[in-house]
Formats: sequence, structure tokens, C-alpha cells
Amino acid sequence: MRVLRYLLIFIIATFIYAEDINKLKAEIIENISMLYIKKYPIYIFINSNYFNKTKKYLQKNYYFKMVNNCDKANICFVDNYPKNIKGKTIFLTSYFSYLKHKNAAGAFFWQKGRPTIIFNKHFIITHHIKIPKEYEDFVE
Amino acid sequence: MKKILLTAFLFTFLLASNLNNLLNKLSIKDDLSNKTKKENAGYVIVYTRQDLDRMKILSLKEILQRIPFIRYDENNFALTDPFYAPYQLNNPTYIRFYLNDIELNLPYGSNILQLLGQLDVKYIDHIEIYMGLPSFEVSPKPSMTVIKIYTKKGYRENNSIIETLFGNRGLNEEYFTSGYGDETKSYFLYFGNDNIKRKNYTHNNFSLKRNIFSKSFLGNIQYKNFEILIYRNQGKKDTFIADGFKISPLNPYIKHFYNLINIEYKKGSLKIESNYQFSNIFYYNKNAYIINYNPLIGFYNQHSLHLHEKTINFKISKKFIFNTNTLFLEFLTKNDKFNIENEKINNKPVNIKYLFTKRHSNIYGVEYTKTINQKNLINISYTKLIQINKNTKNYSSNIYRIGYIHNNNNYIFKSFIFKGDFLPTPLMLNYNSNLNKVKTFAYSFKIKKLDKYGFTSLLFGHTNIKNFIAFTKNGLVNLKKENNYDSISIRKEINLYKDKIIINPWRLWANYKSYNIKNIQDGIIFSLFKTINSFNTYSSLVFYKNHKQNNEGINLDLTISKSYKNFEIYFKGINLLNKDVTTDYYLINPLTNKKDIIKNIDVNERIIAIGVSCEF
Repeated sequence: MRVLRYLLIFIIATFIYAEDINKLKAEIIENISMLYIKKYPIYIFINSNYFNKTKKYLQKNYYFKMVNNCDKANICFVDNYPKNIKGKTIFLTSYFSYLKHKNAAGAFFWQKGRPTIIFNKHFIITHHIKIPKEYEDFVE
Repeated sequence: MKKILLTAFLFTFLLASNLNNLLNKLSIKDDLSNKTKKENAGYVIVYTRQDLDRMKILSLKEILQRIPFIRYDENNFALTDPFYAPYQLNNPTYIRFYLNDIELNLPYGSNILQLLGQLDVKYIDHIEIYMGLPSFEVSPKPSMTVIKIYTKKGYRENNSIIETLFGNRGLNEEYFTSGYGDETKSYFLYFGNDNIKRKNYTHNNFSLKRNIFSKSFLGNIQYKNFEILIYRNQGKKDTFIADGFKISPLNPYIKHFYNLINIEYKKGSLKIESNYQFSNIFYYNKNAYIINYNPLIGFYNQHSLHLHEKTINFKISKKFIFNTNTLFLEFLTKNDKFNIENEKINNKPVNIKYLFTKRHSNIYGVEYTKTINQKNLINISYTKLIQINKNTKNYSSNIYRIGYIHNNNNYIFKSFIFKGDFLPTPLMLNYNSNLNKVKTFAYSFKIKKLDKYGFTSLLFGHTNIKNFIAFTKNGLVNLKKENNYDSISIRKEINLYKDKIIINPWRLWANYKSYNIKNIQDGIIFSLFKTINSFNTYSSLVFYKNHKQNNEGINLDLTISKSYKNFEIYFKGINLLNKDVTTDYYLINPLTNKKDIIKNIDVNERIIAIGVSCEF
């Protein structure tokens, strides 16, 4: 409740903060999408508690299109692995889901108080995805 | 053509926003402390997760040493007490301590920091320190300093860690943490075992010990809008010179356990929480010489008792917004029970009846905030505290605060005026049931200049305290004349990618009119967080000088850590120069008025330790 103090000035501060943070998250989605999908525009589906608010930033970018269904997307950022969907690039945004679905393209989650990205080695090899050298630490 | 365009776009895009950089930025911006917002909130210092990970603090002692206007100190029982003065009671209202926004307290009159201040705190995610009387949010009870610690959350951990630490004098500590989940459901568990072998002393062939053995558990479960927090600590502390007519302790100690259970429901701006805190402290003192005098028994050299304390809290708060107006309402009701049992003198049970064993408090808080325009804001808050004490007089207190904040892109100006009261503790009322409340008045301002790499700030505060409670020749009384404190602090923070520099000189002028004493205390806090190749380093130098007591010291702490796959090894050094400020302790024999003094005791003795952690 301490944050509630000085509320209105913080509405401004919070707004700037929120903008920044969701813009940052959107940039992470863009970066990951461009690594996995080598055509454009890239159709993206998001159903993730952590990334849902990034949609408005992604929509502004000419190279990315938001879709309402994982079926129609090139890459899906989701908390839970979608049922009855095959051959899609599924990027999980929950650690628990990633533990259950090791066939996902990769995962984003927080670990040890820091944001973490994992690129699934098996998925990368079988889909012939080139990961730049500086991201080799993310491959697992 | 399209492919060329796309390739060019991708190339420039990837150069501009490397994933590593983005993750670094995200870890700072989305830190659970919401530091970006907090820095605009009040006179607050935030230790973020990134800071604490590099500092590897062994206890809150290291944080207390780095708060402007405070000198870390311990009382004659070797318990944490930054305001220690011989033969004066601890005033728990000077430093309030919160865990996840829950005020932890021992209602009879001790400060929870006395139990927890020297213990491991590996469950902490971040720490907020609010300085000065008017700095805290709505409906607080007033306090000189508020320390708020926030525990790690399972959804930000997603790992299990086992860690061990060995140090000089046989110091050893072991911890286990485990936390998993996502933002809708998660858990975090912590187990800690502290075996703190402190530097002990000998005085006239009497061994003065300060060792601590402690076990802690913390559990946090979060499910949708609900959160349950459980904390338990139990341990044994050797109590150094303890109490008596002469320094002649024969292994005195306290054994304690403290428990907290809190349930919280949060939806939007509505927050409802209820908690139950209970503790049991067993105090045992035995001296070779006299401890004290009892009219029924005479002089005695052995004394023991159990102190039971219980607190039940219920709190509800809600915020309402009307255009540029915000109204925040809070209500808290609290029941405290405390009792001394099984008291023995010279191993014989004594039947002392303490009539004052219950207290009921209601706190009503209202805060109104008006945004004049995008840059200017005023804030008015009022809190009413009603305290109903069983078998002794009741108290009520009105707390007012007015604040003005100007905020633009380059600088922030804040100013507060505060008026409120400190109420006497039950322990104080058992000495003197006619004590008046301590009245406080404070004003302060802060100017903060922001720049590309951080900020520079200047904080000035003036505090006036009337009816100060102290022991005199007439017993525990309200002093007739007032105390005045003026304080100034300049803080410079420079953030360079992963590195950070903090420089914080401060000065405190105190004028104790009742004693006709003026004093000046100076301090300089310097901290450097630096990454050198694959090593994370933290070094900190703290200088302190008390002009009146002619007491000064310098403390150098150093941490070097390195991670390798799932392992991390670190070196931790505290007071490496062995030149930190020391404390003199004494006991007075009232029969002869002779002081038995032991001088230059290290309250922050040198520690050299190595820790290893394994993540799985």
C-alpha cells in the first residue's frame, strides 16, 4: 500500500515506468521472434500474463502482426502449451510449463531474481535455426 | 528487394537491442522493489535484489551500518540497539521493522531487531529504508527510521539453492531456499541455521560471551489474490555482561522463539490482511556478584523469567480516485497480550503480579492527495491512534503530515511537515504508569538532481522531541526540556551498466536541553559495486565520528564472488581493517556508586568468511 501514496504524480511516473517496461518486453519478443522466424511480417500470438501488455507496442511495428489464435501465428508466446497444435514455434513464458514441455522452441521465465531465456537445443537443430554466438549461453 | 530490406532491418535492429542488454535492462526496471517509483516516493534508500546479490550480507547489521544518522550499536546484552544508552530502556518506536509490509513487533517493549538483527537474511529480495519522521506513508505510527524487507517470491526464483558459509572463530551457517511458480501461483521456502561465534572477551577472569545459535523458517504461498506468509525463528543468545552490580556474569543467556502467520487478500487497491505474532523469551541471568535487590528476598545473584507476547492484527485499506484527487483510507485494529511467568530469584519462584497485561489499539488513517498539475502535488494525511490499556491509563494520538512534491525531468523537490507522538511501551508503564506521550514535530526537505548516470541529492531535516522518556534520579520520567535534532545528508549515486558507486556523507546535530549537552555525529558511507571480468565485487567503507564521546572508527567490508555453472563461491570480509567504532560498557554498584567498566568492545568485529552455494 506504500505505493499508493502521492498517487497522481505517480500515475505519471507509473505510466512512464509501465510504458518503458512493456516496451522493453516487446523488444524481447521482437528479438526472439526474429531469431526463429525468417520471413516477414511475423505473425505473433501472445497469451501470457507477463507479456500480454506488449501487444500495443508490437502492433505499431510494420514487421510484426498480432493474431488472436496460435493456429494463425508463426510464433506463439504462451504460459501453457496449447493443445492440439503441431508444427508451431511455441515459446513458453512459464517455468512450470517448460518443465512439462521440453519440445517447446524455448522459454522465458524469471530465475534467481533475474529474467532468463532458454533456446531449446533440440528444436534449434531440427528446425535449422541459427543462433548468434552471443546467445550461445541461452541454448540448453 | 524485400529480403534485402528485411536483412538490413534485422541487422540494425539486432545491433540496437541485443537480448543480453534487454535482459539486463529488464532485471533493473522490473525489479520487485519498483525502485524507479520508490525513489520518487519519500526519503527512501532501496537495496535491490541486484545489490543484495552482490553484497552477500550476513545480517541486517550490515544494512543498519549504512543508514545515515544511525550508528550500529548493541546493548549490554549484545542485542542490536542502534540507540543504546546505558541504563536507558530501548524504545522500539525509533526503528520500526516490516516484513512484506507487516510490522513485526514484540509488544511489551523490545525491538524485534534485537532478536533478528544479527541473523542470516537470505530470504530477502529487497530492502527499503525510510529515513526521518515524515518520510513514511499514510497511517503509520511515527518512527525515526523504518526498515521494510521484502521476501523473495517463488515466481521470480524458480530454483532451489543450498548454501554454506564458514568463517573465522568457527562461524558457520547453512541455508536452503526453494521457490517455484508463476505470477498466479507460487511458493517460496527458506530454512536457515546460524552458528555465529562472536568475538568474546574476558573481564576480571569472567568470560563475556556473545555467541548466537539460531534456526529460522520462512514459507510464502501465493495463489491468485491470496498470500500466506509464515515465519519462525528460534535460538539462544549469550548475553554478554547482562545486568548486575558488577561485571561478573556466569554464562547468562536468552532463549527465544518468535512466530508470525499472515494472510493477505489483495484485489486492485483493496487490501485486507490479518496476522498473528507470538513469542516466548526465556531470560536467564546469573552473576558471581549481586544482580539486584528484592524487598522479600534481599540481594540476589540469579534471576530468570519467561516473557510471553502475542499480537493479533487486522488491517483493511482502499484507495479511491476522483479525477486529480485521491483518497486513501486505512483501518487497523490490534490486540496485544504480554505476561511474565515462572519468574525465579535465586532459583526460588517469586509471585510478582503484573497487572498491565493487555492492550488494544485502533488506528484510523486517511490520506488525501491532490495533483495541481503534472509537476506539482500536495499531500495531506491524518492518523488517529487510540490505545486502550488494561489496568493503566489509555492514550490517544493525532498524527498530521503535509507534503509538497515538485517533480520534473531534471530534479525533484520534496518537503514535509509532521506532527505526532510516540506512546510509552508497556515496559515503560510498568516502571511509571503516569508517563505522558512523547511529542514530536519535524520538518524536512530534499532536493534531488537527476542526471544521465544517476542522481545527487541533498536532504535536510529538523526534529523536535518533547517529553522524552528517560531514567533519572527520580526513576523513569518525561524530561522537562526538549531534544532538538538537525540533520543533513548528501547522496551521490552513479550507475554505469553493471557498476554502481554510492557516496553519502551526513551530519547530525543533537541538542539535549535537559542535560545541557550538544553533540555532533558525522558519517561517510562509500560503496562500490563493480564487475571485474567474471568476478562480482562489492566494497564499502563506512566512517563514523561522535564528537562528544570522541569516538570514531572506519569499517571496510569486501565481497568477491564468482559463479561457475550452478555453483557460486564468495569471499566475505567485514571490518577488515579492524578499526570500526567500539562501545564502552559499564555496570554501576548502587551501594558504592562504583562503575565497573569494560572499554573498546567491538560491536562489529572482524569477520572473514567463505561461502559456497549450489543451485539445482
